[in-house]
Amino acid sequence: MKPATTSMRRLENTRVLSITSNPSLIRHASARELTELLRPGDLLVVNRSATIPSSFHGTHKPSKKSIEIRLASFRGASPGDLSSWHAIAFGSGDWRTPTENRASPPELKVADMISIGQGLDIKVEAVDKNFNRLIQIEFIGRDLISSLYKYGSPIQYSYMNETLAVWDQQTLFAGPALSVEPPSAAFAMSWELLFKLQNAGVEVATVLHGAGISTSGSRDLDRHLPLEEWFEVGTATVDSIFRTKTRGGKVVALGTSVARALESSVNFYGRLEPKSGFTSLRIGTKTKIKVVDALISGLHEPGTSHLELSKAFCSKELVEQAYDQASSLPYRNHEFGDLSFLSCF
Amino acid sequence: MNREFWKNKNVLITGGTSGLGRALALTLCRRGANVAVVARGLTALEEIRALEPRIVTIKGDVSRKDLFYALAGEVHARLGSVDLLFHNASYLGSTPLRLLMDTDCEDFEAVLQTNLLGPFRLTKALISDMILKKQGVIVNISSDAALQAYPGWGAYSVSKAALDHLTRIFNAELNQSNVRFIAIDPGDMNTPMHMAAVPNADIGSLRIPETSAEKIINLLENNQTLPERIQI
Repeated sequence: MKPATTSMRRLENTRVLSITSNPSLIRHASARELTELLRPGDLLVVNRSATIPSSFHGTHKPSKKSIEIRLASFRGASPGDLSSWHAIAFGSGDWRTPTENRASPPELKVADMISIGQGLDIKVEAVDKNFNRLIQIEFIGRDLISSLYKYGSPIQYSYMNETLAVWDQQTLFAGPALSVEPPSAAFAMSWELLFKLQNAGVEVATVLHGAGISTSGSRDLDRHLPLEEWFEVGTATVDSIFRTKTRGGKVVALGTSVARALESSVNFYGRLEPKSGFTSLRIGTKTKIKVVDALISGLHEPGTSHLELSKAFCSKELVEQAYDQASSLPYRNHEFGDLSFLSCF
Repeated sequence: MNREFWKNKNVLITGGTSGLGRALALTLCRRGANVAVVARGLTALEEIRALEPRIVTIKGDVSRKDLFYALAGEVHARLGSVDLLFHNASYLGSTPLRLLMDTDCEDFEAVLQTNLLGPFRLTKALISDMILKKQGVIVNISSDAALQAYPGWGAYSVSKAALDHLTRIFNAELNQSNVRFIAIDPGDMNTPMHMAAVPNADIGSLRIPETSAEKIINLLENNQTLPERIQI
């Protein structure tokens, strides 16, 4: 499967690989058909996080060497505090070089300072004991938020043909900027489609989830992704979910970040409750899904945590069979590509 | 006055450090709303914060396409999701005012950037919470120049007429969402902008902006079904 190489989003051109069970059925649909894939009484849950430009080029002050800091996930005290992040460091170069071929950063130590631009520095707060590139950072600067947008640029990968701008990464529902890469399952959404779904009897609710970085370029380090991520599931959303379950509707997560947030809001007794904080829940083939009935997600490459997550929603065999069929069709993967719809519960 | 009405309401006002915007910000803050103002000038932002330290001040320029996600990011981080948005920042074009045919193309574009495209972009960036919560009000500050063709007011007049129509179209498209757009003509006021447009205006005949602000706020507070365009 080829990656989508431009940020142009066109609803009418977005394909949906629909995987359902009872009976097992693989369908090749279009995003317009979401109005049929979802049923009256279903609940579509969307992530209202915006994406902050998360790649910062600067100079590592102790070594005077070039460094790129990519934010990896939000770790602030509240959505209003955008100074604290998990991050992954890279050496010189930029997104045009495949991530796995990037130069190593200089050795990092706690309290190292990295100069990003006038009035914006990064302080290394912690260094992972296994991976020197995996760090916790604190931004230091006046007018912090405007500086982050001034000096930051979108994290992007070498399969793209164009340099992304901050607006290329925002979804329809973009609110607080806690994601470092876009919750991209929502890219195919338009208000027109959303209103059609609502008119067809589909309810819509929100969560806030700071989606983390998707790859570090190192297989070993990638095994630790996703890092802990901040999420918030409010009372109104929990109420909507209970109403939906009561009337026999399905809770449909638009994106893996939504699934992670909702499944992280299940308490010790297995009951969903309003919750906010950090989650380190990892959803994989063996995870017992408790809240989400169906998932709309992108199309993912083998071995990624996103594809593993898909297999918690439909059987491994069915997902693999569907991806196998899709490989001979003109589907596109990655964040600006096509969608999968997994509904097997 | 209904103080409970404004409790926990997040209000964003562009051009909130001068004239009507400043009066709206101070009055709403004193009535208990959470208020954030956006303006270009740091000094004016510091001045309003000195008067009401609870007002969130954001340095920003609604005419700049390249900066509006930074602006939205700052609004979400420092104010939260917006319940009431005033598109109040306005630009007359260069003064003294000129006939439309003497207006530079660049000047015309600059007026549209601030008065029309700015509100369009900021609406797009902030409206999703309103639509999904099924509540919210967006006020576009208009002018009698939106309806009347006064010689010399060309670019401003065209921009306000278009802003009125933006109001109508958004309402037509969002009629099920319970998000309401209202165009408000606040009348001729003694503001720096009006004095720049009409330097020899009879100040005695002009309303002070606080009066218009009070009237607008009372309307929003008391009436759930306001018409689409209101002249104060």
